[in-house]
Amino acid sequence: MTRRRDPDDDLKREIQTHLDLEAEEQRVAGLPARDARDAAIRAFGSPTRVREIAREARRWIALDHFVQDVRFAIRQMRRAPGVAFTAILTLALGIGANTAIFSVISGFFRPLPVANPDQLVVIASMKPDDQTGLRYEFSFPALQDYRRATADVFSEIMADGVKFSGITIAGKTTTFVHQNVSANFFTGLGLRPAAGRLFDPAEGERVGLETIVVLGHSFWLRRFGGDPAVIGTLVRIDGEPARIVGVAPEGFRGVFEGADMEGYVPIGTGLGRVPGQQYVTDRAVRRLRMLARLRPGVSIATAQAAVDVVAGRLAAAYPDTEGNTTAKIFPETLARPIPLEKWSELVPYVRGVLLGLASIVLLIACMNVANLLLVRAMARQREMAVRAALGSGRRRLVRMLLVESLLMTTAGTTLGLCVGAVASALLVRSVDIGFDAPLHLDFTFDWRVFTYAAFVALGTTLVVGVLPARRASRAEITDLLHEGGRSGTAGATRSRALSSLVIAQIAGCAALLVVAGLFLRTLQNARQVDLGFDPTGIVTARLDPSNIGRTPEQSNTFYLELERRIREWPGVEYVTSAFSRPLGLYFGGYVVFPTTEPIRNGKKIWSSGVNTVTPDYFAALRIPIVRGRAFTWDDDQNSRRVAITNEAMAERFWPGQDPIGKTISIPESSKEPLVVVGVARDAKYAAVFEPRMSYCYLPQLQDSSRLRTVYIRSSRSFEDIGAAFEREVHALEPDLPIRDLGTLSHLIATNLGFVVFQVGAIQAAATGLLGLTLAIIGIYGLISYRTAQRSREIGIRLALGAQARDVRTLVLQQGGRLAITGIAVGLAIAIVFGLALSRFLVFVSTIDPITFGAVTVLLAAAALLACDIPARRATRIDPIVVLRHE
Amino acid sequence: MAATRQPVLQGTLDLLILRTLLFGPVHGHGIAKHIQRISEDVLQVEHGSLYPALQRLERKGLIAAKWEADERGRELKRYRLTAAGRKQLSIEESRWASLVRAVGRLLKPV
Repeated sequence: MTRRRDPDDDLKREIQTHLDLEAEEQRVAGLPARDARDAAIRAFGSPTRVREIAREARRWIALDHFVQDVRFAIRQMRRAPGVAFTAILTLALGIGANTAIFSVISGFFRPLPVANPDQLVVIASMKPDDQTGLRYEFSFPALQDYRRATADVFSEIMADGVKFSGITIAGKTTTFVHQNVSANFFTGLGLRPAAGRLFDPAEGERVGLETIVVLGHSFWLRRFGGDPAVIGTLVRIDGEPARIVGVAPEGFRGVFEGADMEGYVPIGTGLGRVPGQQYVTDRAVRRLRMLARLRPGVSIATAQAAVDVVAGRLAAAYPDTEGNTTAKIFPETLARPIPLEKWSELVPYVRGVLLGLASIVLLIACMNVANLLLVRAMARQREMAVRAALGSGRRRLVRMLLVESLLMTTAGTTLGLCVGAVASALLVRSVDIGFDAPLHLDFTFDWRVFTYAAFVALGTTLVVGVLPARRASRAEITDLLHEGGRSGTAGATRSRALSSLVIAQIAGCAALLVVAGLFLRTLQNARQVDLGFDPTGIVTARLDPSNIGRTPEQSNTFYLELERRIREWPGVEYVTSAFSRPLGLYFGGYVVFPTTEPIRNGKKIWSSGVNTVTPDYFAALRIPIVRGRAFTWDDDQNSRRVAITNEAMAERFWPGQDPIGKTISIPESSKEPLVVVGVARDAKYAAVFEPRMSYCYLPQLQDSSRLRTVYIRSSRSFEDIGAAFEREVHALEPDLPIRDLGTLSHLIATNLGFVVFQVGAIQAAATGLLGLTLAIIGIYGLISYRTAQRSREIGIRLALGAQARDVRTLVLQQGGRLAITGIAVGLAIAIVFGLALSRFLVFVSTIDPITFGAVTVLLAAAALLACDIPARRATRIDPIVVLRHE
Repeated sequence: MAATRQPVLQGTLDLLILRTLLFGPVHGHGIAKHIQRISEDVLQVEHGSLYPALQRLERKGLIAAKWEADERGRELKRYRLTAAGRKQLSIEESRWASLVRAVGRLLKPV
């Protein structure tokens, strides 16, 4: 076939030439031109009809061939059920791992179930010196400024803040995790209520109105059984009356990814310790995340330019609170759950690496199956040659083999989706963030996962099927038929294809194992990092008396009494309470600067982590005070405000000077300066892999919080202390919810920082082991096949006096060469992966010699083991049998 | 499909085409004329029905086709027998011969 064109066009052209020739003949016979033409058409019949018949026949034959191919493929698979089973299982594992990881990624980045989710962006406040990375929130007055000045790029700017409260329904209080939202929140997102109504843009940003609440859909089902009669009911939120006005639509879980919000309350009702009035007027109270909807056609760059102008104007107008502050726009999906500059940039990267790892596994699986089919294709080469000789077109042969692999991958994908669903369900269950909150991680398979799986299956079919099909169909007919079907010299090129497959497998496997090793080493090293405090022997729990409407004064009295009682328990060494927990899910941050350096326009604003603690905090957590003193019970409302800094803050504010007696200013906490009375040793505060960070402590008696974590250091078991703690709390406050009760060590191990490593290590280890298994099967298969092929040669060698040992060495050498090449290539790939992951692998070098060494040894040993079985078999070859067989 | 309605003719037409091509490549029009001429116009082949048959044979790999310019520079699609076609032809011929013998004996019993 010299040229390929549309068969219909071809036929049309052919008919035309036919008619021309016939007409010419008639003309020569004496007919006039016009009659000649008619006669030609008469003799031909209807050209259109002919073309139709041909078209129909083509379609029918294509279908017929396909059915034949499928039947043939099924017959082939039945004939070698072991091969088919192995191939399908291998593909199922590879595709399962792949889809599971994709479903997790896709689940995390699924667009919000709102109108036009791609228009949503998060505007984050940015301070160059914000070491916490968490000061992305805006004040309510700033929200109004942005709304006024950017109306041409944003159709709506919504705002929200997450709040942990208590809800009292019929005399029983439970936790109530909700979002405080701006009045335009629901209209801006384009949502409709499941029951009742949602907020109206005209209400909810004014202070002093009755508190209204919209319930989250799953909370409504859980607490009220989905009863629409609850609309209009009065409940208590943090002790204050609130009226239920509606229920959010099903599937909408708020805009804080990972959490399933239990309700929504307008921002006018205030947040935490800040009363509503101050909340909406004070620029220093920055508690709102801004979520904006881009006008159609407006790019992020345009919006960013508009936002830059506003930020610059605010910085000039309000240097005390907005000085040196910029604003940055993130697409909503990259700002989950909160906009973190570094993390958001890293997100696409992490996605790529995770999918890359999963794809390596799939590739290894594909290579194994391709290998299997290739070996079989070689065995069937004679059959192919005969078919080719009998007139089967090469295209038909290739298609036949492709149909076979398509059948296998379809079966493999179906099974793989089941494997993947189970794997991702297991993964969801294994996530423990050590924080009692309504988590929602939805990794269920949706159309995205299925589409992805379909593409994976298609790609797999091509990878698995094309190579063997091409090889088999290129069979040199005469060679093969003459050769009598014995694979002799022609085997060389074919084995080369097999060898490169096995090398690629070992390489992929080496890369996977190295990444797994690096994660494990990171985890191992992270556990050995000096946290700066001693978490062992401490039981903690989180309480918040505001949940049941206690005032700050009542709350202080409660904590004093609780701590006094616990201190009297036998075996208790220390008891203390503090606003936050180190390496917990939340922690406090204030703008802190040395009083001698008042901030003015152009000067830097220091934003630091802050914790408010009771006097025994340092002793209980074994944080050494390196200079000065710890807090005492005398640092209370009646004495002057004091603070303890960490070493990093002292060095930053007063390098080379004695920090004791110096003063710092924290406008959000105190109008008067705070005297530094002590310096605590540096510790880890938010994450194990955080850099050195400025941090300070304030006494609870001077800056009290109702939300606190209570710490009990004792020699008694957790069960003991935990049960006693619950009894003691409920003796004082029968209805107060207790959250995050656990040992500090356990809670830290489930810290998000560790969780990232854990998930990474689990995933990499699982994929690595899977890859290793597949690679071993691959090597074993190849060497067995090769050895079988060479049995005649080996027989001759043995007959000529070769020792069993020589034969074994010969076979092992063959496998060894492959393994060494594969490992070398794999380690090179691993270095690239390591560099891509370097942001996560903080406690280990990306070319960690232990990991690289261990992987090399492990793989080499596995390869040798896989080769040893065929090698031993080779030594048992009986030369007489082999030679007779000829 | 016209062809399936007349299975006998289909088989016969295939045989005639293969036989025509035994002596070298011919284009569609030429095949039609050849069949008519050799059978002394007894076998009237509707020219149109030839083409689906040609395509079917081509797909079966019994014949192969190629566009070639003739001596006057006209592009014509010429068909030729493949090895498989040759083999098929001999099978069809002997089958035809035995059919003719059998029918002949039935019609003229000795």
